[in-house]
Amino acid sequence: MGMRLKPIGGVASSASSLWEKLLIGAGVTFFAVQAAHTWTDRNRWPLCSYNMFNRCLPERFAQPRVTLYDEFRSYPMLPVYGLLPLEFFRVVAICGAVYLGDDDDLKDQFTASVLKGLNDAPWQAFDEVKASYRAESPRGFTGMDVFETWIDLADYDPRAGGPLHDTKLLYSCRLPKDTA
Amino acid sequence: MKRLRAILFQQSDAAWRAGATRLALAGAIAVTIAKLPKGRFFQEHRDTMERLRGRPGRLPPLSARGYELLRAGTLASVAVWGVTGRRRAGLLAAAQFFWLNGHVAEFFPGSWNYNSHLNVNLLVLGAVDTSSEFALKPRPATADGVRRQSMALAFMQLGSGVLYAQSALSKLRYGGSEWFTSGRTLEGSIALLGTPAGHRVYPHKSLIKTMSWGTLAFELSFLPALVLGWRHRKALGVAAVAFHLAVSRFMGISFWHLWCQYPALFIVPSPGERALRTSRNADR
Repeated sequence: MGMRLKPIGGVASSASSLWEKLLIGAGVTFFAVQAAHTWTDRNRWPLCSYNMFNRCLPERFAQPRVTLYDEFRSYPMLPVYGLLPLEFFRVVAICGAVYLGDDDDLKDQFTASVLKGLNDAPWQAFDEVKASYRAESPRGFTGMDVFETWIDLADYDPRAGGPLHDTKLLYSCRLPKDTA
Repeated sequence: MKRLRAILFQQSDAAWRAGATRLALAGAIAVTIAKLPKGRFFQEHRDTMERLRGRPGRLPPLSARGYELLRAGTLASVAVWGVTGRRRAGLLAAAQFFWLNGHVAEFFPGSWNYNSHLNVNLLVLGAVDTSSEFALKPRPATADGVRRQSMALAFMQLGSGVLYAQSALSKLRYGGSEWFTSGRTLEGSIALLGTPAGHRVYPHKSLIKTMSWGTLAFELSFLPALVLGWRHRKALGVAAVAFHLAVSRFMGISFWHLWCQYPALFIVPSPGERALRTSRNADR
């Protein structure tokens, strides 16, 4: 009478079972659906088109900038990255959606939440999340201006962060003194 | 076909490699979870984001406390899976991390997903028992188990190649040849996001154009090179890590959560491979 031994770490049968074929089909389908999202330039979590940096930038392109205020001073023309504890590209997209829209209530509400977050719950930088801006005043930030600016690659100096062209004020907010 | 079959079902030391990949993946997910925004951030912005999206979220809403509980629970499950490699722990961790990361992505959907490959890889590797290696209470793997581990590894390895191919396809389709010939996207990205090293490169437009072509060459060639040159996958893994380190050096974008799995998936030789190499050297 021979004992039936369970194989350990050896070479299994080379024939694929129906179950394995189904798994392989599922994997191939997943890759195909992801590729279809790339083709249509669409992201629908968890499906991802990996379309980061896929556009050819023109020589001149728009960028949002903010000037923050506390009771002592202003912090002029900062990138928007440090306004939210999210990846920088998401912060740019959110700010664009809020401040280029027509909903003024939304802008007020969003800005108040942003300033509250900066003042009450600052965060550290990690990977693509930039550190929050910090106010010198212990009372924190009391206001914010949002600008659309244009960057021209022909004259832009990344070390100086400028020059910025055709700066246009999109939105301005000062918190009431008792809420700041 | 024979080569694909070998990649899918007969990877050498699949059990060891799957265990090592599990540790790298669990570590990457744990760091990702630890670094997520706090629950009160999502609660504070929930109304504004809902107005901006024009619809409620697709997943059940979470209070700040509920989110923090889910975050802690997911972290615990991922840790348990990391140290045990048990299938049940892996599937639980995958379900929790799916809900958690989906909640974060749903905050502002539409911009690219950044790290959903962690969810997919956790689901695939978590569904396979990897407890025979690097586990607190190791259980010997069966031959069928090793075969499934090989399939999971192949999915993650080929998935990395598909990811790069998607990225190249997207640039070709939506950026066109000008993306590579002008180099302006890299130039603008270095202008806005560049590190001090990136700023030093910035004035050298021809170098930036070369980097643009290099990006296309790497992204397009990785998948076919992996399949056709499977024997050289270690070198390809090293090249991929070098690519990401270069991007990080100049643009400050590391994509660490992808390439931190490459040493286990591609690069580090398993004990079996090391032994084989030693015996070959001895035979010479």
